[in-house]
Amino acid sequence: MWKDAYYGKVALILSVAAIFFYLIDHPSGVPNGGSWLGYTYGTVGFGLIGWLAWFGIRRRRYGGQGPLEGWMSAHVYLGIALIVVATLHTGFRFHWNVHTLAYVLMAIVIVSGIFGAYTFLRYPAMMTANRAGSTLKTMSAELAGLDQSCRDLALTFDDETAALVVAATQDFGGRFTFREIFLGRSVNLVEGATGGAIARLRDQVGGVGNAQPAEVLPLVQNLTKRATVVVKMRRDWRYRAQMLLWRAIHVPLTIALVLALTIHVFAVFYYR
Amino acid sequence: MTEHYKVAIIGSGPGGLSAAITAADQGLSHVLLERTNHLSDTIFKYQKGKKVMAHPMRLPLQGSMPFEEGFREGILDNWNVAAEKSGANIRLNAEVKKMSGERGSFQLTLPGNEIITADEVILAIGLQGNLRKVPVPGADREWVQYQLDDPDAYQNERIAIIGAGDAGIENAIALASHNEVSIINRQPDFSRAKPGNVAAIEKAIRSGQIRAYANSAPARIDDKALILDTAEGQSIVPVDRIIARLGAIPPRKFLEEAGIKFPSDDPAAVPELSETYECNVPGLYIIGALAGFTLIKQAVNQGHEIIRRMAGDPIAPADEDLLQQRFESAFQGASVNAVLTYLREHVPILAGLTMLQLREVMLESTIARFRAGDVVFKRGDYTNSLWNIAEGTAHVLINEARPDMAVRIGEAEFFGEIGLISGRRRGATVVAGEASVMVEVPRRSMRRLQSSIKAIKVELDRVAMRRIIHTALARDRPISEIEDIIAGAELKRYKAFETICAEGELVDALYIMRTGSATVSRIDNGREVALNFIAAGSLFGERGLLEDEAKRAATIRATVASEAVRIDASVIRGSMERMPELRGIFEKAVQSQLDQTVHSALARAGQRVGGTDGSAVTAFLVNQGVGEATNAFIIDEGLCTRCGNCESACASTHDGISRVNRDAGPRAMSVLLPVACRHCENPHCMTDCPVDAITRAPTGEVFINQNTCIGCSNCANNCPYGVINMVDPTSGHKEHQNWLTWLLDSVGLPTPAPKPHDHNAPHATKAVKCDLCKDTGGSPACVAACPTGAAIRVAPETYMAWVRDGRGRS
Ligand SMILES: Cc1cc2nc3c(=O)[nH]c(=O)nc-3n(C[C@H](O)[C@H](O)[C@H](O)COP(=O)(O)OP(=O)(O)OC[C@H]3O[C@@H](n4cnc5c(N)ncnc54)[C@H](O)[C@@H]3O)c2cc1C
Ligand code: SF4
Ligand code: SF4
Repeated sequence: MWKDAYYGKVALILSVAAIFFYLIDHPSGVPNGGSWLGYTYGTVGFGLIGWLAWFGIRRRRYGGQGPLEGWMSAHVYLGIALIVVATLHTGFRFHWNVHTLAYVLMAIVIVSGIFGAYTFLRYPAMMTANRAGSTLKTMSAELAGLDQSCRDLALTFDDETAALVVAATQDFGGRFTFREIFLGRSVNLVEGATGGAIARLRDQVGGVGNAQPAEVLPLVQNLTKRATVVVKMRRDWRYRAQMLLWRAIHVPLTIALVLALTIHVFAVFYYR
Repeated sequence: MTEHYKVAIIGSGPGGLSAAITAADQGLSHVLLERTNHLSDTIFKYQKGKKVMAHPMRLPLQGSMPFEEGFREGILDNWNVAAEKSGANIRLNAEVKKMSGERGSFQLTLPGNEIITADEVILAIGLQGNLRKVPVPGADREWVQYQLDDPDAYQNERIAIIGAGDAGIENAIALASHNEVSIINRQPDFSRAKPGNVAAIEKAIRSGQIRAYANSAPARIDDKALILDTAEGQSIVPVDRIIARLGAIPPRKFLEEAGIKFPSDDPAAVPELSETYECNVPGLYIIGALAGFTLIKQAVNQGHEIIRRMAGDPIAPADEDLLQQRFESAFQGASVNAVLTYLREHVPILAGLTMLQLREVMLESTIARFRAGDVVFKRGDYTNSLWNIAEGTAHVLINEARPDMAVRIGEAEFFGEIGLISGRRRGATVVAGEASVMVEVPRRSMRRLQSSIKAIKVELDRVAMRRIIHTALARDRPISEIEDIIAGAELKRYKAFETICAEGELVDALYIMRTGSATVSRIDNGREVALNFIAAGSLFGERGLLEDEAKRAATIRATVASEAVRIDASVIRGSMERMPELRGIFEKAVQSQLDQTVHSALARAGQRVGGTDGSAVTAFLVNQGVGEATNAFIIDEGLCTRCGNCESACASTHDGISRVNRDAGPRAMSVLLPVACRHCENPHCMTDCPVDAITRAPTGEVFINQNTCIGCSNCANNCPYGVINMVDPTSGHKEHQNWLTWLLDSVGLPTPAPKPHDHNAPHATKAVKCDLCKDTGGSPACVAACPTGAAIRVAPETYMAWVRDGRGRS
């Protein structure tokens, strides 16, 4: 926690103050962005958006500008406070126009940001636990080793079984789905090529072929082991994808927001 | 009929070749004997296209052998041409196997028992030694090699690496991606190698990339097969190629058999030489790397100088002008010899040196004049040179608020030895007491002197011990009052992880950590809980010292090879009456004991909440050698989003080359120790840099000067943590930031890969490592760029607190 959530307190004070003034204010007519208080909210909101967007640039400027951790913390808390300030600025009046568009864009950006913050809090530790001291590189080397030994072992079986085993060593659980990435449904390799190969190997004992359990067992064990490695690696990718994907919304919509905001401000002053 | 020469020169490196060329120029009867089938084997074996530097830049080159900064190929060509043109008498494939005799009667034995005789001999065989050969039948096959220049030159071969030291492991890993590699290890494990290499090879073996034969030794080499003796009997490894990396046999044995004496058993010791490079055997001269001069230019000059003297046409040593310049500011107009004589008379530490050693030391040292009150160094500085007072006095301000209590150090004495020995910050500010002349000898020279002159080491240790005890126990009294304590103290050495005192033992002594560090731990509910960290300079083991029959409440264990001063309890108890203030020291200790109780309560709480307590994390860090760090890079993987910002920040602030490898370091629980410099207390990397390119800044950063580094890899080989990379500093991919790469990166897409660097082009390989961003002003870029605070840089004293805060265990 950056300096005991210093910016959290700043954001809270900002939000409470904004709501307080909103409640005691009695503008003539409906509350709107054009009142004296409305302008204040607008100006604060505008400044905040500019500053928050600047973070995207600041993030990649290295050296001699103080720790990014503080900026990050401020970015999150003040981003949340922005919702309050901007909503009060609208006076709860929404229409099909560029002004509301800017507001909606901003809301999506903030919500995606909150989701991002959530992934940052949640996944690093889960990732560490999943990797259990290993790294993706090691895992893929491990997988390559297991695959090689599966293929070697398969040579002692008939062609059809061998082909199934080779297919199983190319089984990575198929494409990623939305369900897997965001809802955490793990792939089930047992239903795919891996399951097929294992079933066929089981049949070899006493069934189709007349293999001894001791011949089949190492291969089945290796196939299962590689399946667990694949599941682990997919889980790692899933965590990383979650930590990355929200930015595909957050960043482009921020750019759109800045454009819409410019038009909004321009329109307000030009047509008033 | 044996051939006889006026002078026989052994070894055709820069030293020997220069001697031979000058001998030919002077018409002196000579022969140059070279072991290999080409000239100058050491330079011949440099990497292809290596840039060869001509340090020290200011040292002039003497003689007619050409040498200036350039690339390996060009330099070798020039030397071959110069040798040819001079008409020097050179014999290749003429390894000198044995040498005996003295002036007028030297006998050299060559292959085939041929004997050559000579009046005088110049030994210039360098330090590279003879590569150890595989001692089995069949080892002469041409596909058995002892070097690997370019791993990419081999594809799809079956290669066996014999030897499991660092070189063997590195070769095995470099070859494994394109070949079928096995590694043959005489030992059961890889404990001889650096931790980084051990981790890498074990990983490669586990993943099936490399096959390992442990407890195995070659028995025979057949056609396409290596036969091994293993614990389970013989086994056959099919191979296309064998690369043996068995190290080199240092030339020391050969030298001792010829009657050359070394001043100590220290492997770094060089034979004692006269001003004319003559050793204890009359008529036998030693030059170049073997004589302790590590650079090409020095060797060339010495070869020339020595022959000129033999030919009766002596010249002044090449360093004469340099020394003159160095002495100029303190002794204007004085001759070099006059100053050297003055130093021998006024600085006892330098009195026992030969003239040659003294010249060498003074090339690196400084003579400075101070006025009364001038600051020599400040408390907290990370400098670690030794200061000698030639004239005047120095005042050590033990207590800065009370200058009147300063300790006075007088003429012919030295100070700064504690920093020199422990590598820690200066413990006190020192000012000149009056107008003084002082000689500052850098740490590197001092270390060399200590390894070749025993008396210097003994004297340094003696004085350091007195002063350590004085500062720790009785800084407010004159040192003369504690002579009995000093007499009762002894210096103890401990190996890494050795127990200094164990929980439950009788409290029988007090300790002061001199070098290294230790952990304090206790068994708590059957588990070992780490409580505290003891850094060099601290007093420990004092609790219970004043009671009878008290037992140790905790175990104290060295984290790295360490030294501590041990003072027996009886000595302390005997002095109590006379020195009541000692009681205060022990009371403070009781206070810190209270802290410890709090800590262990915290550790227990951590155990309940987090499953593991902090001591597992601490134990991991200590086992990884963090105890000798002054500033280690640690990542808490429970917070790390794997964004890679730390590495990018490092690269972008350092010519596009990151000095952090986030993927490679050891990890435990959620602590990752990425491969990055730890800025060790006693940096191993600094021990033998020939050009002194590695420095410790007064603020603690250990950094490498890219302009002077000659790329010899000594430092990379010496660093036990594998953090130094030998790369071409211009090969970095300067990150090209434009809106497109920014956008790609921001939405989490990979940015286009940089153009690969052409490694075959001539290039200058240099040592590259973390410098703690000392030139960019702020805090280290890696830490500053971490958005979640997962990355930190800490000293061991602080990481204990970090762990107690519950970090690193998620
Ligand atoms: C990787 C690397 C990079 C370096 N880069 C630089 C640089 O850029 N600039 C620089 O100034 N210095 C550099 N150095 C240091 C430099 O190479 C040495 O200081 C220099 O080679 C020493 O010269 P020498 O004549 O004493 O011995 P060497 O050059 O070591 O020559 C010894 C010769 O003796 C022969 N020999 C050995 N034993 C026998 C025997 N029994 N009989 C006959 N012959 C024998 C050897 O085959 C060899 O040819 C570097 C060193 C290394 C390892
Ligand atoms: S390079 Fe290695 S030995 Fe040198 S200070 Fe850094 S970690 Fe220590
Ligand atoms: S490679 Fe290391 S030891 Fe060699 S010159 Fe460079 S800094 Fe010094």
